[in-house]
This record gives sequence, structure tokens and C-alpha cells, in this order.
Amino acid sequence: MNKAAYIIKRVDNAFKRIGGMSKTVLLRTVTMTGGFPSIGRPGTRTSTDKTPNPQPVYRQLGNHIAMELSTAGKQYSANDYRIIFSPNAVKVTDLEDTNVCIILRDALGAEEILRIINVNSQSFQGQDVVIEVIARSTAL
Amino acid sequence: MSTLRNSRDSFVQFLVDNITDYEIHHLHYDAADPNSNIPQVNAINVAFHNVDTSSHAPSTRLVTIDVISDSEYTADDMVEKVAHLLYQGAQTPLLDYSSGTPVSVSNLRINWDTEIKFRTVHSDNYFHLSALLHLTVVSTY
Repeated sequence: MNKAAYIIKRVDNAFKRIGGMSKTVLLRTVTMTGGFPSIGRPGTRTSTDKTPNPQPVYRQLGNHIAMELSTAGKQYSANDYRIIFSPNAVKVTDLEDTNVCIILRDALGAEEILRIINVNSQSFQGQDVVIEVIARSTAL
Repeated sequence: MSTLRNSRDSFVQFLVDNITDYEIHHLHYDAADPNSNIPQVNAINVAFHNVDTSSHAPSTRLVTIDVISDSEYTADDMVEKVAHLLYQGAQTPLLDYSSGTPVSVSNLRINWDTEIKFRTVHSDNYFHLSALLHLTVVSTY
């Protein structure tokens, strides 16, 4: 095992030790084919979710910002997240795809959609050993 | 379908159908596609703004056309392409795309001014020219 693979293995073990976060992190790819996709009327809109394994760790950054009411009785707050992925779970190219967004899904199935703001990988001997993503909540 | 939605769809699709050398990027909010309201480099970005209604015309709407390119020379070509298309006739039929097949909305069309001014918007990262248009839905009678 080369040193980079060894570091990745340690990173994966660290994720497993931390255990599951409060919400499941998913990568959602939305593709539109046929019809008139430029005006939001595609022939087919396909939404595919991928569950990274191991699950990344994340934390919220900064202060919450109160947003609009999602329903008459519920208000969301926007926030930025720092999410750390293992390169065994996703590749940088997966995250750079403009059709990809990140979903945080809670135990009740409610989803928070995050827009990817920044992707930064830490490399060792030419190989990504950890991938850091800054993502912004769209609070919907 | 509403006249406003039809006018948006018809104008964007008019650009998409007639400018095939460059990508038309329609900026709009869509919760399921959070990247859809981010401007795109090397594309002609179209965004819709204020709506005015009156008894004389069904609706008037402000539209910005933002040509963004990492090459100033290409941006000039893109501007010329857009301007040339918009000068020709300065109108397009109002179409309803809600059924998946465009259907003409009887007796209505979209007009715009032929005086189109592209102004530069400073950026350190790319060359950006922006024009403002008034789209007006009018009766063909």
C-alpha cells in the first residue's frame, strides 16, 4: 500500500469512528433530455441520487440566516456547510459537474438542497487524500 | 398557460432556435436545479426582470442579455450574432410550450426595440457585455 492509500484508509476509518451525522449526505444529479430544457420543459427530467460511502462529515459555518416561510407553519434558515469527503466516496470531477447538487436528508425524509460553492482537494504524492466542499443551503 | 410564461418561453426558445453557434443560458430559479440561476461563461445569458401591465398591452417585461466570454474577440462575435438576430423583424410569435409541442397563441406576438445597447460590465475573470430589452406582448390586430 502506498502512502497516499494509507492516508485515505486512515481518513475512512476516522469517518467511521465519528459515525453517522445527523443527516444523510447524498449527491443528486439532475439531467434533462429532449423537449425544451432551456425553458424548463424537458421531455424527460431524471433525478439520480448517489449515497457516498463512507458518509462524509460536515459542520455548519457561521450564523444562521432566517429565510422565508417554507409553509405557513415552518421557517427555514440558510447556512453554509463544510463537508469533508473521502476520495473513496466521490471524485472531484463528480462535484464539479454542474448538474450535481448535495442533499442533506434527515431521518424523516425532509431534504435540504445545497449548492456547491467550492471544491478543494488535499493531495499527497499526486493523489487526492481528502476532498473539502463548501456548500450553501438553498433552504428548500 | 399564462401570457408571461409564454412570452418567457417563446423569447428564450427563439434565441435557442436561431443562435446555434453559442450556448443560450436561461437564468431562472428552480429549487430542483440550484445551479440554474448562476451566470455561465462562454454563453449568452438571458434573465427576466420587471413586469409592467396595462390595458394597452397584455404585458411588458424587462430582459437582460449578458454575453460573457473568456475571450473579448469571441464576445464581440456573440454580440454581433445576438444583435443581428434581434434586428431582423424585432418580433416573434407568442407560443405555448406547456403541452410539449409549441402551439401558437392566436393573435399575439412579442415585440422589442431594435435599439439595443450592449454595455461593458467590468470583471477580472472574463469579458462581459450586457444589454437591456423591453419585451412587449401585443395583438397582431
